Amino acid sequence: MIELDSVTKRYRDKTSVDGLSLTIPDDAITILLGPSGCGKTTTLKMINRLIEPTSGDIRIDGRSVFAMDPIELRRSIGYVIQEIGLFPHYTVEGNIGVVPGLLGWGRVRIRRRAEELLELVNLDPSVYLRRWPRELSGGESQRVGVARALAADPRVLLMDEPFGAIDPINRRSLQDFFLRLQSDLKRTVVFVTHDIGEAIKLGDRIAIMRDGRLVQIDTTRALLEHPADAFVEDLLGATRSAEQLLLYRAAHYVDTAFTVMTTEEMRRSGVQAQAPLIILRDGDVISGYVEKGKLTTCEDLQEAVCRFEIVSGNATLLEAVTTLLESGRGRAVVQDADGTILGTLSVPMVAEIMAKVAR
Amino acid sequence: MNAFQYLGRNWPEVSAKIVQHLGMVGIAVAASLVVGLVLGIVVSRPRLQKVGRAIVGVTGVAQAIPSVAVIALMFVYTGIGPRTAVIALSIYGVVPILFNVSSALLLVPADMREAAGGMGMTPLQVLMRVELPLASQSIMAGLRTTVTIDVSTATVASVIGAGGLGDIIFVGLSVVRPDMIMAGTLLVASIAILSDVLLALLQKSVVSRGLSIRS
Repeated sequence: MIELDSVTKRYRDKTSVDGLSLTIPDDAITILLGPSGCGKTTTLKMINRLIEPTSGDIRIDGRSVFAMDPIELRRSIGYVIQEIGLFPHYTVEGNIGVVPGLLGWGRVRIRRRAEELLELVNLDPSVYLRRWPRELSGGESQRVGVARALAADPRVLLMDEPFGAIDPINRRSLQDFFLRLQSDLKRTVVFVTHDIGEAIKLGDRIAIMRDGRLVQIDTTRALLEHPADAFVEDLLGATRSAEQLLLYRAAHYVDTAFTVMTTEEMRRSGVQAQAPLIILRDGDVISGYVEKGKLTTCEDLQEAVCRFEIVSGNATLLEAVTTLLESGRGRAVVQDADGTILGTLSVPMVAEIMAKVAR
Repeated sequence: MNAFQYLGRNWPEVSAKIVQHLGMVGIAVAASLVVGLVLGIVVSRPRLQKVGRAIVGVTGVAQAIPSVAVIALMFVYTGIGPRTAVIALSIYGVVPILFNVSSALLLVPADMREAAGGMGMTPLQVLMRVELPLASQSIMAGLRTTVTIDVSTATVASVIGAGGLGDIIFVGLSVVRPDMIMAGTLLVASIAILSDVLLALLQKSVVSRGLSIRS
């Protein structure tokens, strides 16, 4: 747990953070959200003492960070910044090995850790270990950036708009990747963003800041249902309908009327299959879905199977609709970070949800 | 007699001049490198960056001053001999190194420093592991410029009694011996080329391969 206790940062002519008190729970992603200049990045940098507050206290697990050596403190906290900050003169392995190297690990141990982390972020170590940062795509760099931050196995990760410089499509898949990673690793993450969609998708809790103060902190749903004031309401964009899609997570609005079958079971039951929607899943592979009535004879099975898109349960409705419209497919299967199928979504369904919300 | 015959017949004297020449250049380059590196690092620290930018401006222009002028000026203060030559070369040679070190360090992106600091590097570690390696290409280029300038300028230093390969050329000039002038010129040119080739090899091993990739 990270506790900020009436933290203030005053510069000569302005107060950047003003008496901020905030509790950041363990093993969850807490988002610092707000317009630029609201003090969210300053707040983040005060946690690892890159910026020293004018007054107030910050404690990690009850220990004041000001009682610790700042260098050791920073080595114990993972840090990811917007421009990634991979060192171009080090290989991927060298980059991941920076903090372990500072901590005095041996060469062999660093190599093994780098391999382990590359596998964790889905990059083949035999390919990527020796690569130079300038040979990586934006998405690959971000994964290496996350791996580097995790190198010494920190409990706390500070992330300052880490996906900000990435194009929207890659950003979505990086967010999905990060959520899957977090569901395995369960770190205490403080994540700064000004992107409301990103906040709603990633945040277990969202702290909304304005002019260096905390306006409200709560779960996404609670924020939407009980915004503290007009600022929060405005920020969450409760005015224009298309933007509203950004405020809702796909997982909460899925159509749960479906049955999962393997291709074999499907073949056997054939026409008798009664469920309104059947999702075909063999092991980890989801091969398609079949709508009620499409299934007449067993010979038609291949023809009846529709292709679909997969959307993360944490994705916003806007992201789900965008994905569907871009792909031209009828339905999206909504899946949890651990692979559980939550349900399906279609564009008409989303339209219906919006109509309800508008009322 | 041609230049090669001259060199063959006078090798003992010539080799002594080569040693003198290399000695002057070696000492001057070492002094310029130390002063240029230290000054360049100091003026690129965050608090002194205004000074740093001014230094970059001044040294950029100062490179236009002819090297002979600096030798002539030093002669007024410290008289004849190799000591004056070494001092003049050292001062003149600082300029390209200081220019390259300070401009390259000032160009290190702020997010590199921030990432390094945020990961728990001490300021010295940030300098040694991040800033200098990122600036290494430019620092090596500055060093190569200084070496080339010093090798050729040390030749002129003969006129203030500093010795070196300039002696062969200037004696050849006064007694009108084209073979001597040619021999001296060939030697100076060979040293300049050879030292630059060696430094190019050094540069390859010092500068990370990751920096030469265009992204």
